[in-house]
Amino acid sequence: MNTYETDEQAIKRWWQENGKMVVTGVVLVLAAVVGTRWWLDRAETQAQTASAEYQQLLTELAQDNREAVIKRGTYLIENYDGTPYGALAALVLAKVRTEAGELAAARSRLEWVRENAPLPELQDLARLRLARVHLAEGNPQLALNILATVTNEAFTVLTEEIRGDVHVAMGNEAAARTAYEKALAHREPGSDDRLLRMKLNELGGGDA
Amino acid sequence: MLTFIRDRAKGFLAWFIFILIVIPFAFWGIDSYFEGGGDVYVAKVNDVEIPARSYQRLLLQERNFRQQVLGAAPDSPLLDEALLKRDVLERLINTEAVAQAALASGFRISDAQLRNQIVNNAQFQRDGRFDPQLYRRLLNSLGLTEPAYEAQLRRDLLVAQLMGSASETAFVTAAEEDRGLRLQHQERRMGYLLLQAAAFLSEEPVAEEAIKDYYEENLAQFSIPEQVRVEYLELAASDLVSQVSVDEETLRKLYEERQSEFMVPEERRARHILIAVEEDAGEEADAAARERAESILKRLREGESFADLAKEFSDDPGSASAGGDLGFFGRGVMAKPFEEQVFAMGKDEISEPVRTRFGYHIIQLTDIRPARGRSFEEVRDILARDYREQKAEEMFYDVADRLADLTYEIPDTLEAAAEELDLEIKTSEFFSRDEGTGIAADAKVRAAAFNPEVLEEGNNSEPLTIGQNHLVVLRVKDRRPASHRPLEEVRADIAQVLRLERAREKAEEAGRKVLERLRAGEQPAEVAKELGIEWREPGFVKRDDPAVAPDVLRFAFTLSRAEETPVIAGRRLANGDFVVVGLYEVKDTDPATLPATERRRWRQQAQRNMGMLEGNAMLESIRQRAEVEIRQENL
Repeated sequence: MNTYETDEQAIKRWWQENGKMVVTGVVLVLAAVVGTRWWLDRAETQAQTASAEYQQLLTELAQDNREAVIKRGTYLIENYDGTPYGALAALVLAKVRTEAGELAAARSRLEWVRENAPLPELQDLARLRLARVHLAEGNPQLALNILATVTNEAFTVLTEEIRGDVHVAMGNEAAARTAYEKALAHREPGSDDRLLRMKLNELGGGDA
Repeated sequence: MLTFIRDRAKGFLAWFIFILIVIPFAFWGIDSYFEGGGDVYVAKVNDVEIPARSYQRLLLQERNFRQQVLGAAPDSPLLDEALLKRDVLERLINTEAVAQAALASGFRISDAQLRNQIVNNAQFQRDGRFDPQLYRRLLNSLGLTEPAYEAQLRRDLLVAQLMGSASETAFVTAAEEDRGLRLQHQERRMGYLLLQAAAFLSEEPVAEEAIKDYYEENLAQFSIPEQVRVEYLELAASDLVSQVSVDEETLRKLYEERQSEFMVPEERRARHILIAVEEDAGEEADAAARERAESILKRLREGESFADLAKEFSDDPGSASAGGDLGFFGRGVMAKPFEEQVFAMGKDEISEPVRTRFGYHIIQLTDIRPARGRSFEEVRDILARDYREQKAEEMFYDVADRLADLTYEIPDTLEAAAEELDLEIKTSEFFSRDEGTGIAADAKVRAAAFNPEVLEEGNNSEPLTIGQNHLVVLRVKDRRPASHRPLEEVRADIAQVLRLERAREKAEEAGRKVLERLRAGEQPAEVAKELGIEWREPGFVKRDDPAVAPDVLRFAFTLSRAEETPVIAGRRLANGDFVVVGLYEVKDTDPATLPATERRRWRQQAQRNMGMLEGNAMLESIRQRAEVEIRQENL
């Protein structure tokens, strides 16, 4: 390096040597940034659109407009499965199907939620509902198998009450009583536990 | 620096540094560099701080809500400070945890959803329509800016959407519905008798030994918390007012200074004739109205009576009957062009037609009340009062400073301060940490008295503000250690408790005997008659039958239907009475026979309960996943 070279000369020379690379680099970085932003914006817009659609779906559900619910619900599941709203729409459809007695259709929606919901709590929710639909279909063993996959202790109150229901259907009174008692013990004070108590009392357990 | 660039800028390192610097700005903007950190927070949820400000605001809101909406009494557990704080903190933490989980898993609220929520909020509406000004004003009064409120609302909606995902989609299967209804509407044929504890109450004396034992075993029931009595100096600006002397000269000077305040501005009285025409009525209608006004004006100029014409033609229903008279008014009351005209014209003059948004007005000025100042005598009392208050406040600050200094420098007595500042040392009643009267009704005062520096070390407290321009400094005078009410004082109460308990035991003993006899096959009615009580047979009852006491019913419905009937069982009820129940028959109701409305009502209720349980479980799970740190000291 020339010791008499001034700073200015040094910069000029550096620029001649590296200028092209700098320009290319800046362009590349900008392109990457713009691209990522565009992608993020698009995902954001998609989520917001799905959210509004879901809100509309709930309104139609409250109006008991079955046809519209199924149409919009299916549309949401098919087009927004990358957002949580696909899963929520599937939960809505499972409800509508269950209430119409179309249990097989309800089951396939819930199975989808179990596999695809982006939030573990929604997956557990789907599992518990799936177990209940199995029970309603007369398949208590399948229901038990599913309950065994719910390990989240926050759901104990529900898991155990459903397990109790399943055992009652299978004629296992002692196991049912144990499950109901466990559910009751986990209930928050002040929650409406009359039905649970009735079930337990029916088996000769529990207190007044 | 340049040398550094020249030497290093050639290789990949330069690129690397460049990219590192550029990327964060590109994504998050410059703001995030300067924001955040440093604020006092009450809890941290996954590294997001919950500011003490939010906590305090919610605490205040919640306390007001419980007092005013729920009507909770001051000693109700709803207003227990520790519980209240815990509830509020829990809610904040849960909301934050749910909001984070929602965002992370892709929940979003669109601007349109947010806007809908705002414009449909009845609080922001006037006459059924969204009013932006009202919206802004309301937010201001709550100390919120629009962006802050909207961000908050967006978060609330996000949380509601996630939490609602369980309750909105909850269902009850047909099998569950049938089973539930069958249980709910089950009928049972029963009989029962009650052995009332009161019937076994005897005045027989209770052994002294038993009373003593009870007293010692339940000592906590009779405890009296530690109490203190304090001496204090009280300083209030209102007490200083009378010490301020005021002379005539000062007041005169103040009058000069404030003269402009005591001005009554000019007022004018006018009457008018209105020819109504809407602002956007169109040129034709406008011209017609103007023409009409001109013709009336012409008749006025020709000498017709203004009052008569006003009565006949004016479209202002308020004034027409009074001959168009509007009374006296100052500036800032009437529509602008109207006002300008009135304040520009001379008395009795009649104006050309003036256009306002109501239409064309013909105006006559009928009287002028010029601006005038109120005399010194009229406002003397006001001046004196204001002067005294202001001086008292100044004195208050000076004295308060001096008081703080003196009580701090000489921490083991109040006398020096009392003497120098001519204050009286007062003494409070005894009070505990949790309650007191007089100045001790203020929680700050109690906290200060029980502060170790004051209580243990015997120092003066800091000055405590207990009202506007009102403070006290205190020191502990006497302490009464925690103690128990003496046995003498509570002996009679304990004896009564023990007598009751004895009666309950006797009732139970008698009840157990009845149980045995009934199980042995004796006739219930006979056995009851022998005891002088009644065996009741209400026949088939449902769970909510009004003919039978609820706790008796509940017990009858817990008896297992699996056993052979009759099932004879007994238990002590919560009030100490003993019940013996015979269950003879259980009858299930076929849910299909129930009215459709009842079925629907039950289904909706069951669905709500199910959704609530599911929602609570989700919340609990999300909360458990979150890493929460609570700053107890900032609560």
